[in-house]
Amino acid sequence: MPISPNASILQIHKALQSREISAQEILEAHIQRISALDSNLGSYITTTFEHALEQAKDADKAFADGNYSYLTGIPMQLKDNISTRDILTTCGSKMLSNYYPPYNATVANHLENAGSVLLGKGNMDEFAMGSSNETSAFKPVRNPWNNVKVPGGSSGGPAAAVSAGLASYSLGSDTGGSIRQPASFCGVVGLKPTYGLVSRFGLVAFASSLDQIGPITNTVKDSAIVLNTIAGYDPLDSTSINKAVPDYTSKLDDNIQKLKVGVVKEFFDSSIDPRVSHSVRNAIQQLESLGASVTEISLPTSLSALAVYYILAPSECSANLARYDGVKYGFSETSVETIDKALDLTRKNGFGEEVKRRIMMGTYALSSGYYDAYYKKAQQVRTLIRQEFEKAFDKVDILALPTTPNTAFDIGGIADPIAMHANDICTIPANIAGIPGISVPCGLVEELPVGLQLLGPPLSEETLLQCAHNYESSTSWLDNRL
Amino acid sequence: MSSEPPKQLSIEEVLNVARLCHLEFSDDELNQLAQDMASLIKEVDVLREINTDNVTPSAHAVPTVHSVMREDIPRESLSQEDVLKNAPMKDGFFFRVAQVMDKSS
Repeated sequence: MPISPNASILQIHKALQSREISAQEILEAHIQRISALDSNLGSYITTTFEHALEQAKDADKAFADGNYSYLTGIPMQLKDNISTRDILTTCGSKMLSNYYPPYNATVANHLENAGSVLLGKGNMDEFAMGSSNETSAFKPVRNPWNNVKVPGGSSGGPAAAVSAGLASYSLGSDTGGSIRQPASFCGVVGLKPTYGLVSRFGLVAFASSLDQIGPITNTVKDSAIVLNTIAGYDPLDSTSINKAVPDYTSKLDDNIQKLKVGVVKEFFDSSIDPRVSHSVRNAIQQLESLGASVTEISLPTSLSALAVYYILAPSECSANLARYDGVKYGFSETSVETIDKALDLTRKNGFGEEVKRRIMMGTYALSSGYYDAYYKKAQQVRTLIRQEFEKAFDKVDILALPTTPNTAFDIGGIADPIAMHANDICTIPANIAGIPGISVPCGLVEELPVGLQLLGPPLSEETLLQCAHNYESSTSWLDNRL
Repeated sequence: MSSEPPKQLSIEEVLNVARLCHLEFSDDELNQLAQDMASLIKEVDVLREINTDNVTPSAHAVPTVHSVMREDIPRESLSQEDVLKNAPMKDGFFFRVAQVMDKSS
């Protein structure tokens, strides 16, 4: 039986379960599609087809034995900053272009144990620093909807791969919007969980107080299925939340008649493309027609989240990336005489321009005399932003706003680093406040997808997914997509 | 709204930051960085206008997340072989590095 390239995890699972198709056949279809399309799209840095074949054989055996999960035999991708044992993990950087991790990230272990089939590693902005996937040291990614457009970033590879049917799902990471923004640009579902819900062990660190791993999927239900497998306490991540995790699929079909939705007025102003605003407002009306009550909410401090991010993310990046010294692993300039020179040259030649700019900015902000003025000040404003969200969530259950101020822009279209950052204005507040957010497709503007973003209080993923699923089910998006 | 041009960082300041984080740049790159960093500093100036008197800084966003210590119980760790597998230069069970002392010093 032929399976659509954009079949949901659930559809593939049902076909596997009824033995209409084998995991090896599903894998073969994906390999053919990747081989045909990805030289143009660029969504994979590394493919792992031989390894995948072994996993697919195991999956077929698991179905024969009756010992399987929803994810058994499902072909997927991992962003290339998620460590995979003995599989190249480059983080989109020349610095790690030869790095084979000696261990798996916790999320990679969870998916492996669930029987998922790893097709390869997803392209990304270098060290996850970018909003267009153009800072990848290897190649840009093209948007499957329009090949001259960017897929967004930094999880551009994962979003493009899922959108184009080159992976059934992928995991991305989100520090300032890097799951939700590309999901929005590519017309797929992207979830950034609550900080601490999903283990970061084995995720190559960028800004440790903001980074979070989450799923990029075709449907909201798929997002819940993947979250079920990757969420939960991990003693190997010291910021992991030690709380029982619910079954995120169980309440998806409950109606949203008692749900209170707040429309964040600051994110419908003149900085947002009016066509995007219009599309998102229509989606919010749709929530209302499904029974939700809608009120307007003001979050003036959240507009400062971008400035907070300009300090926190580079500062933490400069500390995290100090480890790349060319001694223990990765790219190394070994032909120079002294260790100091080797260190300088390794970092000069191993890092790309955007990464170096952020290391410089972060080092400056943390340097003697500036710490209080910048880093501490930013951490204080973070407290205010978090408190402002807390107050909003006293009044409403979730907040609705656009995921991005515009649809996908042209490759090479934004040269100014500050203008590039500004593309994340709608997504960064959730990272600063540590709260969960989901982007779900809500329409097209000139044949490019728009994303509706929903935010909730910490650990409200169940409600977010329920609302997003109710919305998705009430639209014809899944029939009209790529 | 201020119409002042962004505060320019001196090349010496930029060079000092580069030294701190072990990066090298050409003169052109240093000039560009001085401009880029000044623009970013201007962007974050909005934070100065926010009153943060008596506001506790948040190290990270979710207050229920506290840094933890694990029990001091021995457990398996990576083998020496695994740890050294990616080393650019090694010597037996050691990482090898370029010489530390300059010959002239």
